[in-house]
Amino acid sequence: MELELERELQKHFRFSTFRTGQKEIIQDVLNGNDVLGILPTGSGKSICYQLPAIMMDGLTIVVSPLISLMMDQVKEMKANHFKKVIAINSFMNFEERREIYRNIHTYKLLFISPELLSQDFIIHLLQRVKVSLFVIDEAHCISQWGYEFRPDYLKLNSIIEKLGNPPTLALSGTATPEVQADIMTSLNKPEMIKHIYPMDKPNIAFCIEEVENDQEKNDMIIQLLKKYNIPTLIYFSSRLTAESFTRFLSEKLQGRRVGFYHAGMEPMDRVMIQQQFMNNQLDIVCCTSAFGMGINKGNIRLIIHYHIPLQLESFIQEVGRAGRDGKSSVSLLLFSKSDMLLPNHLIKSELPDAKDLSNVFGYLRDLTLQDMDLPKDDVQIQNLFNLNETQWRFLRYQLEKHHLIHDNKIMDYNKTWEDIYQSIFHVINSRVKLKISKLTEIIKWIHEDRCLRDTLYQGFQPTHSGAEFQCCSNCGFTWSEWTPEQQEIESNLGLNWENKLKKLLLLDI
Amino acid sequence: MIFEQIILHCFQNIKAERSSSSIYHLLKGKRSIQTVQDAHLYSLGSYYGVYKSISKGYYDKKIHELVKDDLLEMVDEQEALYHISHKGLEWKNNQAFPLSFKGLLYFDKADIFMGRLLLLIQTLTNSKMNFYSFIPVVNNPEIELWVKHAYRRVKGSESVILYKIYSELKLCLSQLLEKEANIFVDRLTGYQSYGMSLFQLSKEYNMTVDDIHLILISIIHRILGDLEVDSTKFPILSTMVDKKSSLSQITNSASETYKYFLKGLTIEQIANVRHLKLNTIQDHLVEIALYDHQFSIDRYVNKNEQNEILSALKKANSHRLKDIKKLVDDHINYFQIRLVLAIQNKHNRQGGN
Repeated sequence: MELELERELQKHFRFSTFRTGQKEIIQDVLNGNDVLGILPTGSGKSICYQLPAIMMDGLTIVVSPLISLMMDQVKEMKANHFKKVIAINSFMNFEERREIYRNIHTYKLLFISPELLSQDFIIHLLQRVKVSLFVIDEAHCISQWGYEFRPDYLKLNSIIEKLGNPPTLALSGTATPEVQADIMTSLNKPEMIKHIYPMDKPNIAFCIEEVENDQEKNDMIIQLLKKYNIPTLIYFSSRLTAESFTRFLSEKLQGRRVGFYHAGMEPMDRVMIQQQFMNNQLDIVCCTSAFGMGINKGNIRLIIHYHIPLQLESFIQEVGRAGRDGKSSVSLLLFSKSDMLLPNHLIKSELPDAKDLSNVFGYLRDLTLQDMDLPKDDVQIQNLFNLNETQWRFLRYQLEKHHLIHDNKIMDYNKTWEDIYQSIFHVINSRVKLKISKLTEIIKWIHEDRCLRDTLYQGFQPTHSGAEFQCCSNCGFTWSEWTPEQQEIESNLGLNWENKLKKLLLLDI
Repeated sequence: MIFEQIILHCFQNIKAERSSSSIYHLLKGKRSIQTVQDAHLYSLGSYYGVYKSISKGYYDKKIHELVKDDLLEMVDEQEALYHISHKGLEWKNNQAFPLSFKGLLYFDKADIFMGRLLLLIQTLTNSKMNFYSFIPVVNNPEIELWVKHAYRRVKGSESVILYKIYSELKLCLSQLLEKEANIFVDRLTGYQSYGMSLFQLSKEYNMTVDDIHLILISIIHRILGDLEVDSTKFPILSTMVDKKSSLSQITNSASETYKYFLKGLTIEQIANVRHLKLNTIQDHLVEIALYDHQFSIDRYVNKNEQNEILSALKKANSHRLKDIKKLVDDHINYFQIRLVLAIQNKHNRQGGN
């Protein structure tokens, strides 16, 4: 059995050995157990369900929160010659979806969003096939107390039941002990076998610098990047800043290849930037948190946070993309006093406020009095209520939970409306509080005097394995002692288009 | 500045007879008969669908900027009517405009052609290097299927085909400016060498992202033009052109309506049978009038009414339906005016523009 697994791994993924945790999780899954796996970013979580999906009869369903993440995975698997994989999403047109529904029995692996999965016709469709494994990726989204709570994840336990209780695998990269407990309670599976692996990265040094303003940040980054020509990611909290900083960098750093990446770009440009970075055609990517999930580049040396992330969990995930090859890498977080205001604003924009809520209730009441339904299109509703996608997703779930709306039908107006209003208002307040406490946590960490490594991981795991190279800015990190291998740039400069074309088409110049 | 020139050109031609959104729809290539008809009416067919990815928000912002720079003047705020200003006209006429487009002819074919070309080159170069796990730059099931079939046919002779692609592309690109050819080549993806994003190209060539996009589209239109003139010179590239002609034929729904029309059903009856709105059926008939030379509009507008509308059109010196409506007898409706404009414009028009 043991050797057999390695043979399968070699056959399908061309790896000769498993990475930490993979084999243990896969064995338990293949034995039909429910498993909770906490594996740090970059440790090959997806193998834990991809290999069983290939080996088992029937269909493996993977619930994933982001469409771009699903698409990347499908592309990667297809590139690895596994073709029986598909992602269903709401952007597909009717024809494309019908084609999938008709051929559902031919797939081995299906990626789907929790929102789509909670629709009746999808359940009916999936009830017609044998579901051999049910996977919840980014399972921390289940927890109300998690930093990325997605309401529809709470419905998963009943969906698992409707699908005949297939073995369930919940995976996450970062989950505190409380969130782990929450996942098992919410899935109603207290007997899950836990495989928890430490997420600390011994080869990453943590460096925090307080500056006066953005100008100082810019100067510091330019100075660093002039010194180090190494694969670098710079994280921003807004798309616009990521773009404008890219312009700034390419002016200041002649000859360095800089690009930006965020979720608002055209699909072709997104693939190009990702793959250029993977192929070492790009040196620096300025990005939002949309970048990196599913990116498997071993030699990222430096990760800079231009803005403070909203919580330690996402910081740990983003930093975890550095140094997957085990070589010495650095995380640099920059902040100024004025930055402290920005995250508060971001938190508020994720949830509807009191005014939004009473607007929505007033509007719903008007609709019921006119005997009308909600528009069917979510985007239309968002525009109507002037809410963004996250805000409406939250509110829709709350309204459905209290049976005030069902699909696009609205409950008749009655006395309970006031109670429902109060209860939702209460939930919003406690979510805001939670997010602010998450923010306070990271801000506290930023101002920490003690070892940054100790204090970063203390909420997540009992111990860590220490620093392999330099530790952190509180333990005496110095840039002068950091000498990573510099990149050499191969350039097309000076070639005319004919020769560039010849080279691209692999014809001898 | 190409994008700005095109917008100004559009406003210049529509002479404040259409709202600002009509130009947005034109650039976006909206498949409504109104947009297509406008494209013909105002001789703007070349720009039809040249900027499909543009968003309304971005377009409006651009218009706002042009107004702020005094290149555009607002005529009517409520109806969003603008006119090119004196300064705008001067500026526009002083700019060289080296690009040509054939939007109505190629708006659909351009994407398919470029997608197939990009993916085939990526596939063949990777396959030549025996590298089979690359991430495709094009994510479109139809294009993927096409490339899959094409690849099967040429597998094993990658080098030969790549050389042919090289010679054929060289023939097309030699006719372009040096800079244009460079932009086009830099956009291509090969083995372990991914093409540049629009933003990267815009930095490299010191142009706006809009202009880079438009230059690429224009190059594709010109290549498609070359292929059409003499396809025997381009045996490989020609296979990448989608054979379906796109707008020259009537949409499916309209041709369904046409069947009933030929059976002699009235508009109301057709609307009834097809469970569609009256307006939709009228749109179909305007569309048919626009494209079908056999179609006679006499059943809906008699000769006298046609003449009345035509002379009103002359008098109004405008293609605005409202202006024309004011000058004709009350009993003549908008549908009738649109039908007359459609055939009027069919007579004026030559080829694809």
